[in-house]
Amino acid sequence: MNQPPIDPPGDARFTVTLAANDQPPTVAVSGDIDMANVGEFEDAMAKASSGCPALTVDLTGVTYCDSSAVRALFTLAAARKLTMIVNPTGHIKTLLGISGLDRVATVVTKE
Amino acid sequence: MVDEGVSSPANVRQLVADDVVPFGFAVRRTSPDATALWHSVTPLDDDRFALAVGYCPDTARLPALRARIVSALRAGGDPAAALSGMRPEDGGAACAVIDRAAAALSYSALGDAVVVLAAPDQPGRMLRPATTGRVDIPAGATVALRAGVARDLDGYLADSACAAAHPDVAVGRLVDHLAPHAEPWLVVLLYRQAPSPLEVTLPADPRSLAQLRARLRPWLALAGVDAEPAADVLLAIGEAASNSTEHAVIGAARPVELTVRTALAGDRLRMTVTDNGTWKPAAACPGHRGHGIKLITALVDSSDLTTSENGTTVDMLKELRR
Repeated sequence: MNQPPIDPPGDARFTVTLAANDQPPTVAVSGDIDMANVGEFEDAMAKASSGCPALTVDLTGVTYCDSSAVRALFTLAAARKLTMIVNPTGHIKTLLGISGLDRVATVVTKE
Repeated sequence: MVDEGVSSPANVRQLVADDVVPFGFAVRRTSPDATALWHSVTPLDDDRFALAVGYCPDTARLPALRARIVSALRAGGDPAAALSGMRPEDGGAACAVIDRAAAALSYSALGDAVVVLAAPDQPGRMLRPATTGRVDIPAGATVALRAGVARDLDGYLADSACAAAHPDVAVGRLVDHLAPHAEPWLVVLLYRQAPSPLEVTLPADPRSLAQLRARLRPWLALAGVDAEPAADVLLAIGEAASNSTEHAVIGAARPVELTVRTALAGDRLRMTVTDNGTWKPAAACPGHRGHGIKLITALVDSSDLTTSENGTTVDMLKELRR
């Protein structure tokens, strides 16, 4: 059988982009986050928020994230004021609700 | 509902209220004169569905015609008998009874309407059944009933862009494909038969997780699993597989592998994640497993974890009924 094309939900490449000059710093994450690359995710967050009391993480481009990413976000939220930007529907919002992360950090729904 | 990949001019396609069809089905009709087009999906029992589509230019005749065909299908389950009273001024109609457990299709078509079948492992090959008959439906195959004018719809159905895509995406692509020809009179009803079960065995290593998702995503689309439940099961399987990768590092005396099996039966998706690693008690592993098991419980309708000295198995079930 021919391998069918990967259909929704699409591109799974993991990228991290730091918006210049934002205060507090804003990091946009996209692609898949799992146990294999959560270390990169943690490093990028730590670097972006170094010396800052607050951090905004834009998760609207994330196509998959699991409990290892949730754990990393809990750790971030314990040390500084964490704001997460999420899509109005989709599994990230579900995940934040199930894990209780939405109670220790601010969740902003992107319109 | 998945709508990715569907992008056609709004004036070409109109969604109507009864476009919400059971799991495994998708429908699109074209405008501007959608009132001449009709379709129906009726569950007969747990596994059998009666389907009908039609194009009736005399819209005054349409409601009674539709009611007569649908009630005949419900009563007797015989597509040829349901169409037996059709007159030339009734236009065209195709109807079918699908038994998804038996993987069989009985069908009949009259006028400008056809039933076609495309299998995912035979790209480019499309079966256009005779006017009336009964055929087996191969695993993962797409059945399309269409009524109205469509010059080259039927061949395109067998294109891998349709044959392997989620039914909603496939039916959108079919109708988009026709848009350049500006054919306004068309209704397409798709059905996707459950694909063969998927089985993936990989080293119990975190790097396997991305490979696992790369196999699961196209299978879930082929199985017609909608975006939201697909994201749920991708995560539930991912959490169970992540646990397996942790078992692998606990003093394993053997190379540890994880195996994921997914199988669709009716509206139910069964998933099994097994490994041959050594179970790590929850107390020895605070944090991750706690989150993982909690997530799995929230994401699927039932789950069961069993461990032995030979490994760990997580069985999960997700209901896909819309």
